[in-house]
Amino acid sequence: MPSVDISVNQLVDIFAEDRVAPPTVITPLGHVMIEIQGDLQHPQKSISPELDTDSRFIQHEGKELVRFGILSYDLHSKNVTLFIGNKQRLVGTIIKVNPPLGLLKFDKTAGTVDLRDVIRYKIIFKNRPLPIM
Amino acid sequence: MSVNLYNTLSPETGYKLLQLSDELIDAFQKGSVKFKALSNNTGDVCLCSEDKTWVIKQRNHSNTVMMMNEFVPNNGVPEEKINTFGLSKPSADWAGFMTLDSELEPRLVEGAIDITQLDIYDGKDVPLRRRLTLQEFKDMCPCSEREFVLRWLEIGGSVVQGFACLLSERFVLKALHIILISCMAENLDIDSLDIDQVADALKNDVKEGEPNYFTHEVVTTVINKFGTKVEASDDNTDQDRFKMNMPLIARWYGVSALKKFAAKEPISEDEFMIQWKAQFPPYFHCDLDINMLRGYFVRPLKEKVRYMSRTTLSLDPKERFKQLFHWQNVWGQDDIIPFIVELNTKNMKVDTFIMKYARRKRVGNKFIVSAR
Repeated sequence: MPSVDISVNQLVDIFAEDRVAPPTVITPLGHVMIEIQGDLQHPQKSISPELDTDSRFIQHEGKELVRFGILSYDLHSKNVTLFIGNKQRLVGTIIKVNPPLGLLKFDKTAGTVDLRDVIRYKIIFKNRPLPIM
Repeated sequence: MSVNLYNTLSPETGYKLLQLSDELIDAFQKGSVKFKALSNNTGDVCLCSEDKTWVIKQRNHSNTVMMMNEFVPNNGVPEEKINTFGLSKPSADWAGFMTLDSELEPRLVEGAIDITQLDIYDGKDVPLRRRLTLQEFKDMCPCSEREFVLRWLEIGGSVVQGFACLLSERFVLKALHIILISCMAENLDIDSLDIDQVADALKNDVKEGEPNYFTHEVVTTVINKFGTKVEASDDNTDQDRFKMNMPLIARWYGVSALKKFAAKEPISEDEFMIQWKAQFPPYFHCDLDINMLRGYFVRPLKEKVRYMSRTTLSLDPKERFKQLFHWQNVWGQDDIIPFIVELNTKNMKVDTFIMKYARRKRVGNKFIVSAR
């Protein structure tokens, strides 16, 4: 792939959008960016349904997913709380990404590069996790 | 508002985050932006719009950056299975599909052409070894299309036998000489040259069975290098016309004459001027002034000049001044500036830069420079 045009087919309207769009966590194309200043540990393998008492493992469009938490956010105050598992809680904020980030998808087989979305806001967790009392 | 968060057990690959500066967003809006992998080995990449170039640096980090998208689970999870910790019932589900550990940081740079990748063509039937087409070479250069076109002809790039190459200085001057002769023979106006006309004139001069080294591509390179495009004339032709830059032509002939007659021994300035004039095609008129060749000669003896190649001089300013004063004790400031200006990397005022390494004195209305 020595040289290839970056495809922006999906983004014609997004570029036309006002660059000072109001805060939002989810882009018009349905993407969300979450940043945790630390490691996030979650199961790497699914377990048998009998052991999965909380129904944490689900199948979606042929992919296995694991539910690792619940997130609550308020666009007005920009405060976010993330509950991870049953024991930990993270407090974070919604911030503007400056400069915005383009989400590029490289396909080496087809030799293409797509700009899939533009991320202007993200949820960031900078503090240590707190216990859930 | 609360949402359930999921993560995939088999993350997708091939995603990268690219910092989008305002200029880059403008470039995406205006037209296509090319992603260029400059080499398979080094991993150097750049982005090129129609007229701008960005080099890309990957900034790694140790945070967990998760990209998620909204989805609707096929079979909803029973409410009682989800511990909401007193929050409202989750109204959406997001699934992480990729965790990223780096960002691509673009930096706007001037487009550059790496001439070391090119064959040098000297006008002989020597086979080209690297055999890169112009498009292949363009794809290897961190340079936008518009910057490439401007620089390519300026450095003497051309296409020979279908492959990109650099014309040697000797061949460029030879081609220029032949072009000037042909223009005079065909009575072409050198202030309004048409590349096709000149190429045809040169082609007609080639004897049957002999190869034509001065092809259309070579003529295009030489005329672009030594000429400037003129505004469209009244004859409404689409063809670009070029006005030849006479001082530049004179300088090229002058440097060639210096190399030929004054490289080993200094020769008198008067004799050099005669030799310089003799280099041009017969009856070709061009104003000549020794000051046009500043930066290419020294005066080791009074009224005598000797060729001096800047590439043979030291890159250390202190050493270079020493070398220059070895060849010539006292310099006019205007004469020495071309020899030292490239070493002024901190962009100091040129007077200050000279005074840092030499003595500068006013004599009449001129400044002279000598060793400390």
